[in-house]
Amino acid sequence: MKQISKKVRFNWKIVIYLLLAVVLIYVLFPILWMIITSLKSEQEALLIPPTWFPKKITTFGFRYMWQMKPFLIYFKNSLLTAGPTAIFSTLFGGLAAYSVSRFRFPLRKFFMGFVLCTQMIPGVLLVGPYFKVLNKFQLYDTHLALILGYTAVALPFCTWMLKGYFDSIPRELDEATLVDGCTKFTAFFKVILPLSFPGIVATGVFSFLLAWGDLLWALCLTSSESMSTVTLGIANSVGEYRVVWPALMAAALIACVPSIVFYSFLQKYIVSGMTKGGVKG
Amino acid sequence: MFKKSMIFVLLIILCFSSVASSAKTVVRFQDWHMTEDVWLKCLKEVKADYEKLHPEVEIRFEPVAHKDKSNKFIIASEAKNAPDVVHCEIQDIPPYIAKGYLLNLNDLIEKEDKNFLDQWADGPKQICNYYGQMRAMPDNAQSIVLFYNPRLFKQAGLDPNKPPTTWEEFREYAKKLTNGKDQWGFGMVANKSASLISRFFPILWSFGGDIFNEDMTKSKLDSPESIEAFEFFVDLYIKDGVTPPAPNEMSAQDVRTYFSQEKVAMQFGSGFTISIVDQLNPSLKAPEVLKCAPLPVGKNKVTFSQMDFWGISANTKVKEEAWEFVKYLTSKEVQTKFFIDNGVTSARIDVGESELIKNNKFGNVISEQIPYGKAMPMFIGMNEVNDAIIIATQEALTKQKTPEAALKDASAKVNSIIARYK
Amino acid sequence: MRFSLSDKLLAYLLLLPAALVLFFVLLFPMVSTLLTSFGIELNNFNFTFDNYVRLFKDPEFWNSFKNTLIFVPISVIGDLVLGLSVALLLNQKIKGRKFFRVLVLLPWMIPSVVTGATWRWMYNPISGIINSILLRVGLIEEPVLWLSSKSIALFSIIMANIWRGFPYVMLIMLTGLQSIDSDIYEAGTIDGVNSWQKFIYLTLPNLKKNIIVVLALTTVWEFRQIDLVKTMTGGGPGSLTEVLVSFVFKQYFEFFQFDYASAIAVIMSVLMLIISIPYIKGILAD
Repeated sequence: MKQISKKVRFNWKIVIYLLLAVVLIYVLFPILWMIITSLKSEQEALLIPPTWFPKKITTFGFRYMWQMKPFLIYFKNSLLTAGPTAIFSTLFGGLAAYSVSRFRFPLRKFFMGFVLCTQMIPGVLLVGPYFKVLNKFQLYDTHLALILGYTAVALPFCTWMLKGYFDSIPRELDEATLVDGCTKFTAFFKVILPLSFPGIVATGVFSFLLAWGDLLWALCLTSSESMSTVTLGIANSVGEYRVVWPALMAAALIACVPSIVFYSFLQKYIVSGMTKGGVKG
Repeated sequence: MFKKSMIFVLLIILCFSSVASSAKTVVRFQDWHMTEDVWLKCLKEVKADYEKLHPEVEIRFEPVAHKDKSNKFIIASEAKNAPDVVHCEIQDIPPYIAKGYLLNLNDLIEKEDKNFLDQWADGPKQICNYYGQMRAMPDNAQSIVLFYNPRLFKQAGLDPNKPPTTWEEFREYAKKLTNGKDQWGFGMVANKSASLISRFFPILWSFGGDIFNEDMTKSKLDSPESIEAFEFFVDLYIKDGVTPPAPNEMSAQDVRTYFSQEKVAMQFGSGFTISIVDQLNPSLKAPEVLKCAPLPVGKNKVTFSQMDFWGISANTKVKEEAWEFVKYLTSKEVQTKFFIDNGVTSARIDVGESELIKNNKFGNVISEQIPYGKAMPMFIGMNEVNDAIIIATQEALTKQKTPEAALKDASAKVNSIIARYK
Repeated sequence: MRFSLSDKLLAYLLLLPAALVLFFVLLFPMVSTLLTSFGIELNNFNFTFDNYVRLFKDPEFWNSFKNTLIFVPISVIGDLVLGLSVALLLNQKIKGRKFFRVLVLLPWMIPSVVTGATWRWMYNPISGIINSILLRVGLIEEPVLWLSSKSIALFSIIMANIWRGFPYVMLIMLTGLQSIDSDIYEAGTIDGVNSWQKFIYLTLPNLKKNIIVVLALTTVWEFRQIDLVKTMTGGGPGSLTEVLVSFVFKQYFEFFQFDYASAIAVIMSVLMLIISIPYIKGILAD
């Protein structure tokens, strides 16, 4: 009996690995191709038909990108917009989600619907009028303009996601703290926040990446090179007359590094499962 | 502690430096060329020279990728916060003028010499002229010509000194230069871009076809001549197979890449072509090896006038300074520099017809063809017309429709566009 | 010292920061879009339905409408299926899962402009790596025209789109899976149910809320997705891959038809609203 179950488990693992392999090829092949390309020389990257591996590995792409573009400034700008965006949208979204999740009030449905609706107008049409608003407040070409814009785009997603997470926390728990003499507001910080931490982190990662990867708003709402974000800087290097593929790929890969670091750092919170221990009543 | 105070000092210096720079008048300058390194180097030199001449002015670069250039300018102009000096292509001019994005330069020009405008060729000047108002200044004026690879000509048994002179000959040459595997006679650009327009219109005109009738009240795309031209163009791929597969995915840059690797023997291009091809594959030695010739001739001898312009934003706050800078950009000195660095031929007569260009193997052909150049029609809905033609071309190339049906559909669309703008 | 606010007031106060940001950024653009679509300008209050009439007669609009109705559902379902499967896989105790969890998120971290440019290049018949490998391996004899064949162009873009979109779903699903009590599974193991039954009867119901959220958000998200279409085909060949949002983009930025673009956007929003009503009901059901 024991042996059979072991066997079954063993086969299951093979299936998992096989599936994982297929998915990994689909997921990783383009990334692998980007890495390979980034290590080629400019001329080799353009060869027809393409070479599968670099004939001669070179760091040309990385050097070129670094020399041609003020990447440190780009990174600074991206961090200064994506970081606050992640914080603000998660915080504001969290508060709103808590309200919708734990209180019953007439505008509840309307608010959740409205929040989703704000996302339905394509960014193309938002960016023009928003520009006029920014002019009124003298915010054009500032980080704040981008932070506010991205927060508004990310907020609905954050609210919806966090509402889902908060709902999964049993209501008895925060009621218990209420009995202990806390206000609903402190219950939020003492119970809900720690318990839904994985969700909050996931939401933060989401908003961070949204702001990091955006092009249209950064393109239209900044003017000087000193305000340019990483994504905009990269988009600008897809020139009309020349695409330096190795450098473009190198830049795209480097642009991922902060996100990877950010995510790896937070990953343990997402997957730790530490939060569940105390929940069972 | 030391570190902290260092940072503090640095911050103060930064503050002061920004104060110092803000004392200058800033002229915001948008040009897609700033995202291309050869051009960027050239423009940076121009900027440095200009700032030396005018120490009270700071030229602030606002780089933007070519594909995003009008998006950005539209949004900024709608919000009345656009860059002061902007580089435009010919198809941008009518809508920018119609939307009121570009400043009327008349009173600025009046302050100049009486003969100030005489230095520019009439063709480009006419484009800028909107009911007597100059709304932009001409930058370069070029013509589309045929670039070919004499080495591949020789291999195919063709005389490298006798490029094709008629379209039929062109097709025969292209067939001979195609091996069906990894070499093609002609590099067709048919992706969604104005590059297709500038490379197809000459054929259309040459066959006697046209986009509009003379008073621009009706489409002429459904005329037999237009259809013949369109079928000739599309069949280069569908029937003759002389162009690499999926031309509808090929950008001008893709074609130049094929050309630089000798996978394609002939392509259409202009002044900018050689320096890019040289960069794509230096081992080809493009400036020495490659040659160019006038486009083949059909019923008419005609080519496409490729032109760029400098505009000043209508809501600029530094009108005078922006004008000074535009004058500098269009000066003989800078225009000559543009030719030397990047191969584009100037709309200025004293540069475009100078010995320098006449003695250049490519510049010579390009400038000689300028009199045969025909510009894109100045119609406010031209972008929509172009889009209809691009869609028709792609539909025919991917066999969604027959060439005739595709072009007739485009013609109907063009008629409704004309009707809408009446 | 504790002052008690009425619950209702507190509830509204909690909504306030979010509402303020949304109003500041989006209220004016939304109102302006709506007004523009009716041809109303600041100095001209004339009201017209022309843009809507034109839209219903425009075959290009209906074409992009149809393409959107293919593009969005397939992308959303693809995102969900792939995201959920990968989340389930990476929730197993396998070697190197931490590493893989970072790796599969990469597609999401790469700017979509680069994603589009890279996939377009990989799909190229001559210079693309996909055809190059398939030809060398012998799976095909002629290069496949991924982005130029009538039957597959849109699906080629969807492939790239799912590649880009699924990591986000995976992340949400992973956090959802983490919050399911392992006790439930242990109870299941004792009862002798197989893995499939476990998935259907234990995992899925527990993920219900997450799935609703993901469906709602990816639907809206994919409707707005424009970078890939723009960079890969620009809507071509012909208008085979034109979707609503790229059509809006074209009308606005290339044709300067601000009012017409706004009308399309309004219709698009109404469409999205109708689609998302069940989601809104789902997320608010207790």
